[in-house]
Amino acid sequence: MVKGFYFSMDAVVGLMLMSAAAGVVMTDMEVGGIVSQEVEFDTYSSYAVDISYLIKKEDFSTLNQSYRDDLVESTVLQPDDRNIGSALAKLYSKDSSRTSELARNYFETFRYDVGLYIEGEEVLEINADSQSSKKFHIATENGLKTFTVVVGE
Amino acid sequence: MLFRNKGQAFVPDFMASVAIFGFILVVFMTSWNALVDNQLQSQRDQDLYIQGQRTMNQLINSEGVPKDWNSSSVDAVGLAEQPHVLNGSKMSELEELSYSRQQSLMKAVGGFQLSVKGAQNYEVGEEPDADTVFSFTRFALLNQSGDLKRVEVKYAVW
Repeated sequence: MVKGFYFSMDAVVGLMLMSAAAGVVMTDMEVGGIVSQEVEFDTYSSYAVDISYLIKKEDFSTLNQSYRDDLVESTVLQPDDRNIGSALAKLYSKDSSRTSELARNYFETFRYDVGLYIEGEEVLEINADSQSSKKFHIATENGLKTFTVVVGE
Repeated sequence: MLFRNKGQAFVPDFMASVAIFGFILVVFMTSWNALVDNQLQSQRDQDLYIQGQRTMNQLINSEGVPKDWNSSSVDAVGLAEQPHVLNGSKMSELEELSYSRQQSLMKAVGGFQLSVKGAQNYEVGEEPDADTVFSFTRFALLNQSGDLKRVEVKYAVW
């Protein structure tokens, strides 16, 4: 029986080694799977890209009428300023304190938390553990302004 | 006599060791197969996810082939007239196609569902019917006679 027992120990040790090798191989292969953090990050990246397009083309109709009227009456914005990106750049150039307010109201219409930086300066803060950003330019009468949109949750 | 006793002692030892080894081997092989199946499923999921992402990007950023395609001329599907600006008539043309043709254009082997919701609503495909379904949501604009309205584009693939 003793002989048989030692033989089984050999088998057990052999199988343990095989299992360890298999574990190493499987851990290496895990990299190929879908990780939820990866999906989350991709989602934020996609939203940041979407916002970079929408902000250049979307007009004030996403905001309520009274707020639009108030902006035109009390800031440098004109009734024909129809584009959110240009309006933000224009307000920012005139150092208007209402830039962050407009950014907040616009970004509230999106699903995730959104932050905004113009020329590297924080306009709208974002507090998110996981985030992704997209940098783009908006043409203004004073040249190109660099916008960075940060999306997270 | 002495020889026979030794042989008798050896056989139970040997049988016991073979039984233990066999049991452990069966456990190992079962676990190994489960792990391999799991990895293959992960790989399939990843391929499905990447293909879904590609299709979604193509739908909202590409015009398709030919540029002004309709239900009888489409070679590659794309709903945009410019990146992130969708053309409603292309969505209507897509609705005209059979499900199998839509599926082949979307490269969705298992199945898909696409919806555009906002100022105007469109929906093609089927209700998700699988254990693993990847869903992608993007924002774009829909051109309504020059007026750009925000829409939410949802694409589910399985």
